[in-house]
Amino acid sequence: MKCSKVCDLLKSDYLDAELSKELCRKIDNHLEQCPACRLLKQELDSQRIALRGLKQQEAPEQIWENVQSAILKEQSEKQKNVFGCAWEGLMRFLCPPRPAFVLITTSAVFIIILFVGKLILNQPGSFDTASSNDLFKDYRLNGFTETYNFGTEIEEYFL
Amino acid sequence: MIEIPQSLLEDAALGDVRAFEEIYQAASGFVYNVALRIVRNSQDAQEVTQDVFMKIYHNLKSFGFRSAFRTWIYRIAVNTAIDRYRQILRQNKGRLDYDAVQAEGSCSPAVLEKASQLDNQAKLSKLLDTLNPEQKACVLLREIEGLSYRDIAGVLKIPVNTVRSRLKRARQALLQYARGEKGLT
Repeated sequence: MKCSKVCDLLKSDYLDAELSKELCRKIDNHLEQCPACRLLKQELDSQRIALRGLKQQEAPEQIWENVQSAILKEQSEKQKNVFGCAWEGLMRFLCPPRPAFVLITTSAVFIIILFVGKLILNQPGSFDTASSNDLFKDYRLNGFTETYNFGTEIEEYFL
Repeated sequence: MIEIPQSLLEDAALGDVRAFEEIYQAASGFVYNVALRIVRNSQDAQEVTQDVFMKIYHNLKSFGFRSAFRTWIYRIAVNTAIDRYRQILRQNKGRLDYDAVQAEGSCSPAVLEKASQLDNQAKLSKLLDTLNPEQKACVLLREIEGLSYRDIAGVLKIPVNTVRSRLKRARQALLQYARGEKGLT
């Protein structure tokens, strides 16, 4: 196996144990015979140890405080929205949207006017004039003489 | 990252803040450190961590347990941190750029001189800073979290061969930097 190929594999698959056993064995054999590749392997090993020894820092507590307050704020806003939605629904139920409301109001007013009007008309003595039947009952053609009976003596006197 | 039981996730999805706090305790270390390595300053890393956990909280209901929760958190954390890093770059173009450092040559005397004055941890951080965010994400998932190529590909939604080549280039860059530093000191 050539050094260039070994170097490539050392920096990736060999170091990360992603190679087949057979290829690993071939590289190990090469390393025994090649000091330059062996040196590269040592460097890569110490690089790995150094990186794994990289100190992990703890996340500052301030972060959780910020996250928690943001979550609690969102939750309270959500709750407010739930109550707001319920109130809106109730109001929509009680006060229907405008076109429907206008139609219902107009119909109600019309029905009330009709009802009140009928009540007034049905009261006795409201209109004491002759009814339409009486008015035209005696209207007749009698040869050339036209006789009108308007039902009152004054009218008959003048006519 | 510590394993998180499904019942805890379900409780948190229903709005249980205590359950969500337990998830936070289990995952915040990884999220914060990934963010810190990628964005390179604690202020932005804190903002990234906060964003990541708010995203997790908002999307827990739709998570549906179709994939591993760990993979899901890794993906959100890495993507949010890389997005933030790019945003910082756009806002502050004069800032030190990973790609620029690499383009200058990892053996740049100024960078090395500065690095040699720092302690081991700082040197390691500086070493990581020679990588671009995508390479760095691969290295962190592989070396710190111990994920396989296939898992890293799943987290970052990239082909396995891309994972392989990113890791190879990252290690090459780190070696060059370390050799240069050694040569100078």
